[in-house]
Amino acid sequence: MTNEGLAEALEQLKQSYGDVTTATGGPGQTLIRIKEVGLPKGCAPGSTPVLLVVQDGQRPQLYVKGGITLPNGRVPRNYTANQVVGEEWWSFSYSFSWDENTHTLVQFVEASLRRFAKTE
Amino acid sequence: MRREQVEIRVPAHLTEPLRAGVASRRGRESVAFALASHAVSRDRILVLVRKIITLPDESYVRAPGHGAKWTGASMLTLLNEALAYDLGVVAFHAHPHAGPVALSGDDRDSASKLLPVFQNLIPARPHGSIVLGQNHAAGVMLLPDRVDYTEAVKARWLGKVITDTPDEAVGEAVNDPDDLFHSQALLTGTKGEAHLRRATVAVVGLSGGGSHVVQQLAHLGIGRIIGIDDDRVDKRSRSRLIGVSALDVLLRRRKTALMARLVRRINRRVTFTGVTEPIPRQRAIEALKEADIVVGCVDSYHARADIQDLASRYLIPYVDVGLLIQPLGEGQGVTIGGNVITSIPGQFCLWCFGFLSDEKLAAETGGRPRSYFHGTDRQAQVVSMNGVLASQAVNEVLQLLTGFAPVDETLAIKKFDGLEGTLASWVVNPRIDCSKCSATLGAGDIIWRQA
Repeated sequence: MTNEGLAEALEQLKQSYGDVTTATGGPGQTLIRIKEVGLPKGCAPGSTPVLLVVQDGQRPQLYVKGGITLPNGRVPRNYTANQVVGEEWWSFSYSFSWDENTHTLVQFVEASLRRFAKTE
Repeated sequence: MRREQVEIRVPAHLTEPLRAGVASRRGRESVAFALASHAVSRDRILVLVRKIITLPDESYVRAPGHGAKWTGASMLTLLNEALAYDLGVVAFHAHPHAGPVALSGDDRDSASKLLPVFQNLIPARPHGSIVLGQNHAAGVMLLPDRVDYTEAVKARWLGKVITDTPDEAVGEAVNDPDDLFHSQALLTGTKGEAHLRRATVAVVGLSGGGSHVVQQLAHLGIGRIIGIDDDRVDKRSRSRLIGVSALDVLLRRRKTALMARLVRRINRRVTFTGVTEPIPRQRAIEALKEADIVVGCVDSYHARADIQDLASRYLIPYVDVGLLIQPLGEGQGVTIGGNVITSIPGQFCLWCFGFLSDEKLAAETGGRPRSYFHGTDRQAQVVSMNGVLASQAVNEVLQLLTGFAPVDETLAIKKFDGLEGTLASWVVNPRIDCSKCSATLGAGDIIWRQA
């Protein structure tokens, strides 16, 4: 993602979610932290902080905080703790196509978190 | 002036550049600037040196009555770099004599002008002015969100032996009223014993290897042991977990509880802190930040990668213990190999020489426990072999804290051959462009900026 593309993506994330912060990770890596993003109805809690790891030429990685349960009360499959830049963040499996040239980071966040609507 | 403990950690590859940078030249003092991140732990603020920058000779101006004076313009490059990477600026100079050193009035005056400027530019990181003596250091730090200066500063020089300046153990009476450590002190010396008593060692994984390590650290009289494991004992623990009983298995006690009991029975003056969450849970990460040394006794590459990342990030020496019992094929016996790898920040990490790789991590199943026996679900573990490797790991801790053995420049790891019964040094040739080291070494806590 170019610097201009990243600046535009950050502006879109701010418009959608409000409080957005960034940090530098490794070489070519930008960390984006969204303070609160709503989860599908029935999930507990109803929202979560989100971490996006954006790396040149790679699909972004999305992490949430631990302790989220699905509308059926279960824990999502493959919901695992990770250490990212010295903090605990949780990853989960999701499947959708994403193209950085046509899709936005907001769409990426929404598509990823839609996985929590599935009761499996 | 605050009395908050600040510890400046200098990774092994930067100790010589820093010492050389402050050596006097052309009859005047020289200044070396450290670009540093930081981290906040429960008991201290860690200032983590990432880069040393020295000024060229033409930057200095003649200033009779001043130790060293340089042009403001000569600092532009380093300030731009500090801004770009969100790093603090610590100015070092030397008063190269034995005994305690202190900032002069001129040094303090200079610091009171420079540090607020640095803080204004990079408010989220600490900035400081430090004077180094032969075996001492002193100075002031201006911490984030503070307007007053902190004076309780210690410099930690990482290498095959951990060296603190000032060394608080010098001249300290060792607390050994029962004369428990008389024989041990014949090797480690009074200062070494004081270092052991002051140290905090974290042990990650309290099973076959880790329980041996905890037991021996308690016997050594380590001041504080942090045991990190979320697991409980089961019937298989009885073959390998030091200190376990049949009742513990029946009650499915936590491994941390067993280790707390083991340590208490050996030496009540040793503090044991149990953390019942695994790395990478936040409580475990925070506990690790309090350690002077971490010993990893885990059985997956993913867990090792997490520990290595944290050890590099907070500049903590990491001793890794691993045993592999591998069948060669039907009727062809087994190989029994193991490693004790001491990764000193700034020398090499587990990625630098291929012990960890993306391919090895990918081959694991998402960090789930990995069998030592390839191709089977059962782990092969033998208490006596775990004990050999654990004992060597504790020797490595002893060396880091007391320097009981002569130090050479060779980078090596220890390899265990369980069939031959040998433990041999193998030279390591780390790559100099390790992307993990450049990303994480001394990275500290992340600084978030509003987008």
